Amino acid sequence: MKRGILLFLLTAGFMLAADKPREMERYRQIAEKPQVTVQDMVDLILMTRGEFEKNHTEAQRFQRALSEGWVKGEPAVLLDRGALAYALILNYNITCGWLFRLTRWNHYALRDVQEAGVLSPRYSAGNNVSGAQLVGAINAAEEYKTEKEEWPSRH
Amino acid sequence: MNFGKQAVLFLAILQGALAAEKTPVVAKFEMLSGHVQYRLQGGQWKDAKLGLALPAFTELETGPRSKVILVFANGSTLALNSLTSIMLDKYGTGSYGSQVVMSLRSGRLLAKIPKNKNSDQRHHFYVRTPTVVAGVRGTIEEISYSPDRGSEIKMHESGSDVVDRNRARTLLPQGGQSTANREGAVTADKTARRAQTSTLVSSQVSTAGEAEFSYTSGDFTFSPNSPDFSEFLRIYERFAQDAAAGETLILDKL
Repeated sequence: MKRGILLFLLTAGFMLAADKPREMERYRQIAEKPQVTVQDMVDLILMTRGEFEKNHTEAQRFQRALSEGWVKGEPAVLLDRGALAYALILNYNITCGWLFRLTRWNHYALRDVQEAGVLSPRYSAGNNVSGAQLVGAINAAEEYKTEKEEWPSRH
Repeated sequence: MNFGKQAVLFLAILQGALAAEKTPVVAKFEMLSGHVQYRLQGGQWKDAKLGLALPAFTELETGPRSKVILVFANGSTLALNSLTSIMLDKYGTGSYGSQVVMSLRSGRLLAKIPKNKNSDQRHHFYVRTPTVVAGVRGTIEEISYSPDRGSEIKMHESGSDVVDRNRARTLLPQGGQSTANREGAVTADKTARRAQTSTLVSSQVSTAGEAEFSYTSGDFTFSPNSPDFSEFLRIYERFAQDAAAGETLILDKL
């Protein structure tokens, strides 16, 4: 019985240790891509939330995002700025306007995210995103969220 | 000399040659949290360990929810945020003091450079991003780079010189912030002016009633985008017309 428990704990430890490099490998793979997919965005956002390791397969991770309602369509589709902005608004509490609340269109999502200074205003909703741009956008969204949350304690 | 002695001699010479080629230690990991990896000049990525010595030409990457603090041989401290990628390009010491050159590919870093001991010896610290080179001495500086926002530099203590892609040099004072992207650099004075400027609803583009309504409704109700407000009014007018004509409401069509 004791051996069984010890074996189980050792196996669980090895599995957790194996996940760490897997996450970094996946992150690097995404960051170096010239064009990323919706699945890449889902994986990176779940990594920043600390939920990448909890959902082992890509299908599980995409299902998770679908159930939370911050992605639409298929995972293999190339990610555009509209879909990225939509996911950022719902994940990072970015201030959105009435038109986005009414319509939930990517076009309005992008406009609000650009107004928040998270994405560059030079691009439109249909433009595709590279891995470096996706990493930069998620970094900027995290900084925006932290700043917004810390604002009441600073002022 | 027999074969065994020759082999031992050969190994000793080889070891000496390898030791001579060893590059000096540039920095060490002082604090690690989350997933941090490094690689030496195109080698394999390895997990970072506390106290590990890093030579020049080392690449470093922090993963999501990760942070790392590096201490340089000259006493400078470097803190890297999550999703940051850097390369330690050069480290040198001499009668002039010390010099650190590094590249920031993406993410955010905070550098604390020690004060100069005397006027002859200075600690030079240069950070290169794809759009700027920031050089600092005896200060605390925060630099970030992303393809969308370009480079942002904030000085927490004393000033800095910033040289952008067009070789234009500008002064960044204490507490100041400068950005540089593909369009060019926004100098510290322009950034400060923008931060202190507030834009109000103009009476020329909105009626008195609209302006009053937008003032009283507050930012939390409407988007900070002014076109959002005018488009909302247009949709509202269509909605009112549809309702009056008894047709399908515009909201059902959306």
